[in-house]
Amino acid sequence: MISRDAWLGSCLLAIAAGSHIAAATSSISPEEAARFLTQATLGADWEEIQQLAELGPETWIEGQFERPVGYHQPFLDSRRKLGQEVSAEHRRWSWWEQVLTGSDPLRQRVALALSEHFVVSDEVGAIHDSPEGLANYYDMLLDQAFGNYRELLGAVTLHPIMGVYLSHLKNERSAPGRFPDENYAREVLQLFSIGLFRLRPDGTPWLDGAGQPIPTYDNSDITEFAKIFTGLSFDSPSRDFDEGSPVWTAPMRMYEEYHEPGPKYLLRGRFVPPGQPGLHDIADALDNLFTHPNTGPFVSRRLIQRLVTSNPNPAYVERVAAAFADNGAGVRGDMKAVIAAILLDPEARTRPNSSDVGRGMLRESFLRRVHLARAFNASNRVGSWPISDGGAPESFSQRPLSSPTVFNFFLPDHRPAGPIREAGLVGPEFQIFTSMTALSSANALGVQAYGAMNQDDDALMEVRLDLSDEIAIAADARSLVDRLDLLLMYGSMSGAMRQILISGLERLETPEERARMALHLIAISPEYCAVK
Amino acid sequence: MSKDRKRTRPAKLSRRQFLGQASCAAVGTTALMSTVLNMEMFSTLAGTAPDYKALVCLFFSGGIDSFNLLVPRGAAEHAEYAGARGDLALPRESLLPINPATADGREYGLHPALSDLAGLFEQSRLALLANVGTLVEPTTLDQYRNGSVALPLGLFSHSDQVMHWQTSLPDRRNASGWAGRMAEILDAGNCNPNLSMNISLSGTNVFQTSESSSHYTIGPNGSQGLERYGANSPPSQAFTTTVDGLLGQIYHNLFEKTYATRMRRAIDAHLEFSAALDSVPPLSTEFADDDLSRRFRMIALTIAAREALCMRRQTFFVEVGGWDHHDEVLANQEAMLPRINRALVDFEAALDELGLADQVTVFTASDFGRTLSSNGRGSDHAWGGNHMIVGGAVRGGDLYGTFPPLYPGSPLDTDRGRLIPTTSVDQYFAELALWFGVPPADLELVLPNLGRFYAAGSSSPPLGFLAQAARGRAAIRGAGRTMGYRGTPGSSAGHGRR
Repeated sequence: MISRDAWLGSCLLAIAAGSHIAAATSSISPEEAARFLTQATLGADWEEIQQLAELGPETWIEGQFERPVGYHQPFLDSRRKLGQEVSAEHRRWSWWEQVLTGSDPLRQRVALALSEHFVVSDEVGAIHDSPEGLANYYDMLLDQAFGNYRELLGAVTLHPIMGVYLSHLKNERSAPGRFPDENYAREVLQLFSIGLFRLRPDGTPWLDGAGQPIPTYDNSDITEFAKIFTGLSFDSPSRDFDEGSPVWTAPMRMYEEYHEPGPKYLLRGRFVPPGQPGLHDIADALDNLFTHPNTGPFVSRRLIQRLVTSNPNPAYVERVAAAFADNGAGVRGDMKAVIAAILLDPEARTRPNSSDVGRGMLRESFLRRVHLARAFNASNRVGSWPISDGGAPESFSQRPLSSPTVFNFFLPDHRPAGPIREAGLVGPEFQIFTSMTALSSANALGVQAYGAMNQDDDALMEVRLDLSDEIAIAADARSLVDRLDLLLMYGSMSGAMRQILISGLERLETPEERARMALHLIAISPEYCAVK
Repeated sequence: MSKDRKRTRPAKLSRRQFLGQASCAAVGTTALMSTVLNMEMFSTLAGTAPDYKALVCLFFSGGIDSFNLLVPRGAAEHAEYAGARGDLALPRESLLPINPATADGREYGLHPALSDLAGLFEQSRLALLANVGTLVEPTTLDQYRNGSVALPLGLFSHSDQVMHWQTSLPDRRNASGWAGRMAEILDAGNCNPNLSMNISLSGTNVFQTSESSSHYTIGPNGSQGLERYGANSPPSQAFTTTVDGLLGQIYHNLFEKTYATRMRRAIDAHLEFSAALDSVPPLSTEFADDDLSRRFRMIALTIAAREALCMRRQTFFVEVGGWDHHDEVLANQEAMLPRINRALVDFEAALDELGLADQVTVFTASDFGRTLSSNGRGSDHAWGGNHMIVGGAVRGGDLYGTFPPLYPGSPLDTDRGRLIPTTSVDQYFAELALWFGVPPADLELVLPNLGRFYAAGSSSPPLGFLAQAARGRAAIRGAGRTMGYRGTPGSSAGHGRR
């Protein structure tokens, strides 16, 4: 780890190197502040927008790096101590509480993005039944979000939740007729570090003479890496590889007698020598991946896609990958430098002009729900957030930490039929925006706008949006729409959309009906749903 | 999403109106000649039984361990199987015996959970296809090892192999799906301009996506509507008008444009689809109450509504996940396969009830097969696998393709029992596409790589597992080009039937 001073210097260097941003701490307009927070958080309320406008993005980011971490496991621990039920639903309550009330919105945003990169899922029974373990995994992502990618990769690799998800927990050395499980070996290469094909520094693939992409590894590399990830099991008190009691909140332990002996070949001509401890093998293998020239551009493009835009220009990827390669102080993999480079890049900070029709991204389906909750300070009357999201996988085809596979809810290169595909571009989030979920999500957002975010017989427990400020001005539909334009759409609403909304809202009699329907209509509108 | 044609709103048209639009719908499509031919094909059968066919793709996502679905049962062959599979082997006595019509000197059995499917096999309504997989070109082990043939891009990777099974173009990335390409040729024969020929019960898939259009997605309970939209109260009317206004704007940003188009089509298609389904009587066939059976039930209901929907050709995509059994493959298959068995046999019963058994064919697909060898608890990603084709038109009760040797180090074994496929997905899909009504002359538009494995103009069918009524051919098997592996003594070569 590097010191904070070293980081700050590097951050400014990265900014200076990568952009033409004016003075580092200037204040900005509320519209630009709201737009920045659309990328850097899971949604902002009115006050956060005003504060960011005063601070400017750079100062705000630096402040966020210092905020205390809003951990998710303690809520479950305290329930456990009190003898209360602890289930997958309670973990979601904790997720909502931290996302809605934590003082670390940038960290919470990045952790969610990382959870869609280092995917684990409570769709798997053992993970569903280990809510503390999954919360602990998420807290690890929160911790590492502002750390170093190499340490993050190591923590992910050794976490028992990942171990059970990709089945390297209790993966044994080979024996006659039995081979090490290849699951983690394959996915750590394909999804968590280098990807399938060799990349240029700007994230575009190198092509061979026939115009085909060039594989980064073949299957013999997978069988070699599979040997590396053997010998890990729970760090149980009994030290029993096979039968030890599960310990979900501590890194897996290496059981040397179950670890594949002998040398193992890594990529690019490297190998691990025979006879060293298993955890050294793993460290060497992860170093081999971390230092691979693909890793920077591969990870950078994916994080840009989560936070800013679906089709970043290669030059943008290259600038972020350069920050990954060197934070300015000679450190590779500094997540703070990567995050700052993503969010402060001119391609993130400037609005696309009208001819740049391929810029932007579809808002993640579930993140519309989170955005409304954060923008309107969803709460109940007792200060808890018992939101279970039982229907979210159906309504949104999405719920944090419930992906159907390790490939996340959607693929980074999904090309939806129609104009995006015809333009040769990708639109990952459209993969879960079908004729079913387009409307089931719209209906769920209507329930959120008009009713509660949870179902509870006790009205005191119902979590609702606070629309009092909007209702107060809704007698004037223009004022209402203008406020929501800044709050939800960073002032980007077209004149035509504004007029259509005002005409519709003026047909409604009560201010409350106007405020709620305005919210619903915006949340399902094309201009809101396409972040630009 | 429904296809990219002129949208007609409001969408509640009578069937008579739909039929009147049929000729209009045909004009302006990209494959005009084919369209004309297909319209002829459709019309020649009009007046007798309505010409209708549906293809249902059941996709086992995750990569099903299909060498435990179809297992050699003879003593020596089972011993070879058990030696290769180690702790993953099913006991010989647990297998459900099946007797393929074409003897290849081996005995076979099905996984014990597939009892109803074994019954369909005996009724000649289920066929098996052995060791099929993605190939760019015929491939031998030497060629695989020395790199002298092109291999599927991203071989052994889930996302890539799912894509390749659905595009049948494993040497390309970003290709369209083969049902999407069929729709470009055949959808014009349907007289519904608003709904795609392709319907997904399992969300977005590549299979049914072409460059310009995609499938219409429904769920186990049917289509999804937008609440409040079109209701009568004044606030609902304000909502409806405003939604129409927002979606009716001209958008230039591609994300806004795609979003607006999808919302508009979803709203309209639901009005039409739900009205059509409301018009059909309930099925008396009872389906199980699990998710997969509910989806198959909805497919049957959609087929029942084919006239109200004005559909003569439809594909359906249904995916069932959770087959990536790196661990606990035996216990998981034992728990999961009964649902497959039940859903398929109930679906066939529903088709019998509708009198459409000969007009609907179900075929299975998956990311890849799995290693024959064990990792101690399960199996890992591999290549060739075994699949099932079910329906009244299926020349069932037989095994197609070439069942491979299973011993370690066989001429097909790349390592660990990762077997090079002996039949390509192109051959598999060509058989289905011809049956479905793709003219032989258009076959390579749908399956551009097919010529590497099968001559499209051949008088012999690609594999022979379907009764190709229009061409009235005697089934002669093995017309495909010679694959890399030629079989060991006692294994099957091409074996004709009937």
